[in-house]
Amino acid sequence: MRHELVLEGHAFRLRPIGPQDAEFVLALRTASRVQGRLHPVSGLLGDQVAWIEGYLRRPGDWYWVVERSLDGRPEGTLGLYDLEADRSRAEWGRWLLRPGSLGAPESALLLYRAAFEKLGLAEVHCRTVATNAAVVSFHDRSGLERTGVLPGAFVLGDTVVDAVEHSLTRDRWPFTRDLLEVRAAQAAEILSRGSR
Amino acid sequence: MDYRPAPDLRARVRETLGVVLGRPIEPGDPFFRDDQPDWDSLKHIELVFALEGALGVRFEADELGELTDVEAIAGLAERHGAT
Repeated sequence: MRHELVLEGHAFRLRPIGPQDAEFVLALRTASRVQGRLHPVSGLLGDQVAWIEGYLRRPGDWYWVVERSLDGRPEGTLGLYDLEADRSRAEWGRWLLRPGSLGAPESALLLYRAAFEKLGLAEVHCRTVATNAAVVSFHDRSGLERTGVLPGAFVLGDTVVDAVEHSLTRDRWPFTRDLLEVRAAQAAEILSRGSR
Repeated sequence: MDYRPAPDLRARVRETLGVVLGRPIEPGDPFFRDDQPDWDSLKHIELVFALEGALGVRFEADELGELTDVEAIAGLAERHGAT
């Protein structure tokens, strides 16, 4: 969905994605380290552009690029989509970050801020490929409720995989916010040191 | 030159990882991040600060991806002057 929702954090920003980001998205999605965890893509830039253009026409779908506040360097993507008819609940995902990025806590924090404080949702949920242990752990540690395992939730190429579902409700959001805020601030402090 | 951190440095790395991740790490266990499901990105940031405190070093932002196991952490810490 075409939108103008920008969220600013300590060191990272969420800004609306556009067709100009297709090459970056394609590079993230075709990286070898994420194979087996995502729906396969064609690898063609034109297909990725078309997908983003389709997304821009789809209501109830917010898709962002995670970028460094300092210089606008793109570090990842995430999205909020499948908004339910009563506008109370949506799923979040499409969460990909460059290897070594410190943007995980802050990008998740900003996504939840968008969901609860900007869009007024009552709940967000996410489904993670069950073998993606680090992301499952991230959600557990962020204070999300693990609501179940969904057998055969995803078909990735020729492989059927289970998903772990997590949920965060608005009443629990302050707990998760405070927890992620600490790590986001620490990540920003590290990034402020610069590089070798 | 082949960097071989002193055994006591590796012991402090193991101890710090063990405290943060909540389980003892035996000598000789390389303790690779990829093998530890709970060593997620939140825990990694926590570990950076714990390791810096325990080892008396300060890592650069673009070095954090190198903190992948006991030996790699000890080697990087030694290059920052830890003994």
